[in-house]
Amino acid sequence: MPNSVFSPRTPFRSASRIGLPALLVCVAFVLPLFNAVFSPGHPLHLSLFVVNLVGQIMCFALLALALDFVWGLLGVLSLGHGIFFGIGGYVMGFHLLNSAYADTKVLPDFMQFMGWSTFPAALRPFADLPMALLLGLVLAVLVGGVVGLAAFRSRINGVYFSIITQALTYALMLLLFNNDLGLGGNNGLTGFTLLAGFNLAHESTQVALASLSAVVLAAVFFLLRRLALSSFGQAMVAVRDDEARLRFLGFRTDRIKLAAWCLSAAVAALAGMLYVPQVGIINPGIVSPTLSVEIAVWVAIGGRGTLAGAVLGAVILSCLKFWLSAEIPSAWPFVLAGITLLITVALQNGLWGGLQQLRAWKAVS
Amino acid sequence: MSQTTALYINGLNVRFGGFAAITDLTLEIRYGETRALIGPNGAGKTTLMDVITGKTRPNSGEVFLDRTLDLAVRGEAEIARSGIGRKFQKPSVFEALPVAQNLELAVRRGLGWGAMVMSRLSAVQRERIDEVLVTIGLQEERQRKAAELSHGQKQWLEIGMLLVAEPKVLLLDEPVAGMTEAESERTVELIASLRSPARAIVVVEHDMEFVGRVADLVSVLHEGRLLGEGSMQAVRTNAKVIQVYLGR
Amino acid sequence: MKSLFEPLRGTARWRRWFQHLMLACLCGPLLQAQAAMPAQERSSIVASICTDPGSYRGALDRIVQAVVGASSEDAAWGKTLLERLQAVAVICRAQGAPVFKVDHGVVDAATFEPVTEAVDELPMVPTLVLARLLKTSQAEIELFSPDVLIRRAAAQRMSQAYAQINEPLVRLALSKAADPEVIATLELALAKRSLASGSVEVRVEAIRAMGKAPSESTRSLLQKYQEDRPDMSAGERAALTQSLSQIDRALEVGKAASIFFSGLSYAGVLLITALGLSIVFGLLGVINLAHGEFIMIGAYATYVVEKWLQAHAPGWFDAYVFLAIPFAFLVCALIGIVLEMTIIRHLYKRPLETLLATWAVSIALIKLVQILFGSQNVEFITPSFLQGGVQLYPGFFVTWNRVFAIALGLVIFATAYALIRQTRFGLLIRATTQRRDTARALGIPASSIDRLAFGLGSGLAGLAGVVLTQIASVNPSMGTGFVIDAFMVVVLGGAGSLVGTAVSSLILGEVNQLIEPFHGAVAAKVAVLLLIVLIIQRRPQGLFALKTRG
Repeated sequence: MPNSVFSPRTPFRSASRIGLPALLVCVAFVLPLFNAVFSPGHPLHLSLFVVNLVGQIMCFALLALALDFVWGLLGVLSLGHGIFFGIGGYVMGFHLLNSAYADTKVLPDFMQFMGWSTFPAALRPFADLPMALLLGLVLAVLVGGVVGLAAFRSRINGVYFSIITQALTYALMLLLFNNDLGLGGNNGLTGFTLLAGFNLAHESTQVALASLSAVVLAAVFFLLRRLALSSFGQAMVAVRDDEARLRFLGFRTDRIKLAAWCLSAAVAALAGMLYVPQVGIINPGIVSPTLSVEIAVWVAIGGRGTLAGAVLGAVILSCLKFWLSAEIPSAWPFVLAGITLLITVALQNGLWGGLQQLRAWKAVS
Repeated sequence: MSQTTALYINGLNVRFGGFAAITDLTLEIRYGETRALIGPNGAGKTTLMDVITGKTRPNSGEVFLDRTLDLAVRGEAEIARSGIGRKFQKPSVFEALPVAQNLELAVRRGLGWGAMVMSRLSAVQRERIDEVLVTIGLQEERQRKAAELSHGQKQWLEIGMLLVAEPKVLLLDEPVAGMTEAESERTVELIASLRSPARAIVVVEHDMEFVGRVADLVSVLHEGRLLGEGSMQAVRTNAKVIQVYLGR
Repeated sequence: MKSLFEPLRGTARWRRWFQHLMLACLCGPLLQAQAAMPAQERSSIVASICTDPGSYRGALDRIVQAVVGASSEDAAWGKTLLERLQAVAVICRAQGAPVFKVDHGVVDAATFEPVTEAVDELPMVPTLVLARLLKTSQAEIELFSPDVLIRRAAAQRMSQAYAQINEPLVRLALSKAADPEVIATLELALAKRSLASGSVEVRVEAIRAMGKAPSESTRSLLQKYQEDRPDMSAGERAALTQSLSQIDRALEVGKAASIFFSGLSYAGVLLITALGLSIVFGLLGVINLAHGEFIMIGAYATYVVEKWLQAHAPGWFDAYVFLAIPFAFLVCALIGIVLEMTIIRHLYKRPLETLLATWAVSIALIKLVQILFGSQNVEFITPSFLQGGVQLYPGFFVTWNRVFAIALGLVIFATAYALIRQTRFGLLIRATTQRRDTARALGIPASSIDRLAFGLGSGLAGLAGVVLTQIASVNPSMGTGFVIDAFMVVVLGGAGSLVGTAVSSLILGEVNQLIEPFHGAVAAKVAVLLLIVLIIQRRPQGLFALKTRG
């Protein structure tokens, strides 16, 4: 992989990188508690809206982590991680449909429109939460496995691979938009009431979910970081920089790629599963090609190959997006475009890389 | 010099579309030997290395390691693990990783990639890395990123990466290309020190002086065929070889 | 291409002779009515309509005879009478002759002379029965209209109301008809009538005739016939079976042709959308995710031209597509060149960054167009010369706008091909693509070539947009779907190879159209992806790779 102007691709490195994301995660864990601890009216109280936002951003950061793992470290740019996010999200959606039905005994709207009188048997396996979680991860890994196997065995790399993932995303989106499929069609799945017995509409549930998302993010971050520092991580970097060389050293590189890829798929699905209960809906738009590219943009802006940069990028851009979409909605695409252009042209190592650079310069002078 | 065959090539034919890269090539390289492959560009030297390492499949003919392992059907990674190490023309090291980590990766030989997550290097492996670092003269640079090495140092690192895996066969593709005099000198010493009864070394080079100092036997390739074989002296005075190099 | 009309005319020639003979006998009386009708006769016709509902049919027949007869005065009168009746403007007076109500007063129904006395009765409102009969008469008259489109429409109505048709009249119209479509429709109408005839021979003959004029409608007619008459004779059954299998075979062929044609049409779309991308990706190695937006801008440029012409030069309106071609090309080429100069230039040799950067440009462009033109679909008026279509074979109907799109696409491709292969500019592009350093060593300004080539690719995308306005829906986000398909074409065909683009467009277009009608759009896309993955395994650079081993 060609190098940037400033410095060659970095491997994954040490303790100093924990700082910022650890801080973020602590903040993210603590903030939602402000909602619970302080009552409304208190200046430090955080509205449910903000808590929810924090939780969503944690999920996006998780998704960005998944992509950076496979792009920054392994060198495989996937523009289709929305697929796995969507798989996780829809599976969680199925589970929540089960819970809602068990709770209210009323079929979801889209099922009524289709003329169904009973809850479909195909969705019943998702009624049990642990089972649903497992199924979601397994399904994501399976889909990822098939795609990875086909692509890596065929030595499809680089931009061809990226384009193919976009095409797959598009196909999945079309599939989910199909109203006859019984998966909600263009309206998606909604009408969720309960999760594991807790009422989704209650503030305390949402607070718990937001904090949980932060915890999961932290856990996955440390796990991935550990991996990146291990020999497996070294091998991933080697695959990124000179796959042929690694092969000629005796490594089965397509297995390495497949393993990392499937792990990334699982993490993305996890992010989707945490996301859906917090927004209360899942629809095919989540699998749009544009959103999948946006994830890559978060990672690029934050600084790819650093894991911390992915979190940073996701957080900053999501905050920006939410803020701008509320204030000046039509400005958001231009702002995003501008930042992306700036980063790709001028700051190839992203914001995090820029920070490192600053630190290095300061150390020298 | 041992008499056991390391690489056995018989009647090899490689064609790319209409272009015949190698025609009816028969070659045998023994353990303990250092063989030089010379010939003009396009003679098929790199293609031969590609075939041996599994990068290119031959159209017909036999290619064996130890007369038992059929190299024509195995994958690149498997061939590498069987003990054939190849150094590329362009120095191919992992620029992002420090020298020591380059060697750490190489010493694992791709085995147990699942175990890579958890397992540390064994003491034996770490010793080997230290040894090789001394051999290639990079013990001071072990924590330096490979990208920061000089061109010559990168070449030695690459050779080092092959050495830690204790290869049976070493294929060196233009090991002194782009090196300074001093670096070339060191490389000659390095390659000479690699000689071992359990190892066959094949060197592709254009630098005749280097070849003269390093190789036992020289095989001359031209337009995909074996033009001649023998000691450096014999080859140098061979009329056909002279014509090929100095003629057209 | 076997037309619908051939078989009927070819094999039934002797029958037409016979018909002509019959017509001469039947129409003798009609044709003899050379002289104009006396006013009394006219009055009596109108009076009978006024007073006697039972005489409607007869009266109307006589009116129609007048209209189609040789006398032009009678024709004019008859038409006016019919028209006034339908307009509820005929006043039947209790005393005195009936009159027409016209703009400036009342005139006599027979002579058109103004009537001076005051008329205060209300006009006659046609009953439902009369209204229906009037419509039929109207159609009968229109069978003889000078305008072929009106004749066709009238023939269609005859065919639909086959049970009530006036057979001698229809045969007269048939004898005078020259347009193949009219002939076919009228013959079908008569055949339908014959199917309802009392005589077995006539029915069998009609069944056989229908077998030679295959279409969905004849098939369903025969089907219904089969269901309605379980006790038909052996002769009928044999003829029926034979005709049905003939029709089915023809329809199958038509269906296959239809699928092939729509595959061709889709391939055409793929070709023009992928053309510019192939050049840009092949030459510059640049993945331009904004390519779809250039297509979109081309379409909107066409919209601008259309609206401008509509407002300022309506006489030229029909040519808006042609005028949009240079306009869209220039606009998109310019934007492309600006893009290259400002952004792409910095990102060579970094394909993944280029991908993200061009994506950024694409979302900005989409939003910009949304702001300027709104996000709903933009409607285009099909130019008059592209409206409608022609049935080339039973079950196989081609619309002119699609044919035009394919043709225009081919012209664009041919021009681009000629440009690349036969002009100096094209030579420079090819040299720079294949061996950049050598080209530069020869003094070719590679970066200028890059810029112009990028402009060319973007301009071609704009042209694709122009073509698409006639066959696809146009909105700001139309680009995404096209760009993904276009990339598939380029990946399969080999970047930079025009022939490769053409071949892979054809392959992917047909594959898509073979699968989509039966298994849906998703299955088609997945099939295409599988095909590409399989082929890329063997030939990683695509089917027609441009870059050699070197």
